[in-house]
Amino acid sequence: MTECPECGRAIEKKNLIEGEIFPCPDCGVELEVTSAEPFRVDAAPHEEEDWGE
Amino acid sequence: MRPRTKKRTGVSSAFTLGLFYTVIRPEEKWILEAAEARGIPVERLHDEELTFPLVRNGFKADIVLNRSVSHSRSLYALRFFEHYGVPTVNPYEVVALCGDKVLASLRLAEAGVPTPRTVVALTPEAALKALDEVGYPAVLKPPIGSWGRLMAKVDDREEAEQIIEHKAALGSPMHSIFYVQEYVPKPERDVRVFVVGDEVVAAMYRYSSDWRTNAARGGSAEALSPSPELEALARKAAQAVGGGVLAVDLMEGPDGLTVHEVNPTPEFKALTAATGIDVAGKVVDYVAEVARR
Repeated sequence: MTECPECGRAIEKKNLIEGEIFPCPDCGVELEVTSAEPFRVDAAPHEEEDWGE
Repeated sequence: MRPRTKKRTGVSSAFTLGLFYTVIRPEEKWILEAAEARGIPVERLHDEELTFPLVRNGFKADIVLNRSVSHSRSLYALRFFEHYGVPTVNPYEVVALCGDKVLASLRLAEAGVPTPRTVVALTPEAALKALDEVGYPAVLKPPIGSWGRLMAKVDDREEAEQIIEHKAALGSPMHSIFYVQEYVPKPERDVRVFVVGDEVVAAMYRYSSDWRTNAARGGSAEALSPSPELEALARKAAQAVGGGVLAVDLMEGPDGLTVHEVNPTPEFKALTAATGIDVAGKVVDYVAEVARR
């Protein structure tokens, strides 16, 4: 269990894996799992100019 | 929607798949699951952490699947993997070509693939001439870029002057190369065909009230059963750029289908949801096929 760095909501690990991005269920900010064990999340990286498909 | 991944018990792999990635989106998670279901060990290669010496060390992957969202990181990394003798999906050449709209247009035209009328200009002054040649409305795109970023629909010369001035002020040399394309009046949708090797694996319409129909800009998707003509054109476009795992984007204009983009690191979350097809599984099967060559 950890918390959203933006709104403080509790975030459960469930089946999230390291590197996975997902929206905070409360504030909607995009988060990234920076570590699976111990479970940590941070704001997802910002889109850069050359990002895409 | 989550694709159905078949469990293939008792299968063991003779190779390790390197997943080169920036973040784990549903696409990458499905790829990891598809590899696991096939007994293929995966080495995760995070593009923010790797270093690339001139002599290979530090990783064991036998083949690399590129899922990095950064075009620049992809290009250098793929060239290094190639240098180390590790095959990649897609190859460096394909990503370099598709990532540059100018080079991609040239290659598609050389292969006889219909594309929207395109004129390239190398200075702001020439860009105005290029827009006059194409006619208004026209579309101005950065040669490198995706997700519809910094694209502009230009309705008249006055607007063109303002947009070009803004682009030039951005300062980057890439914003001083002007890729001008005719504006194709199309239904509020475009077509995406996902090609893996020689196979058209799935297709969809992408709907949007925005003139840009990129799924990344929102909008909705609907499964499409491609006609033989559409399949043939998508396959031809994919082969023209070198083949691999590619999403071919087409528009339905008054003069028929045109290919406006071939994406070398395609997203397929919306496509999977719309079609129910296990696109990730198809991608992993193709990587396994390339690894066996």
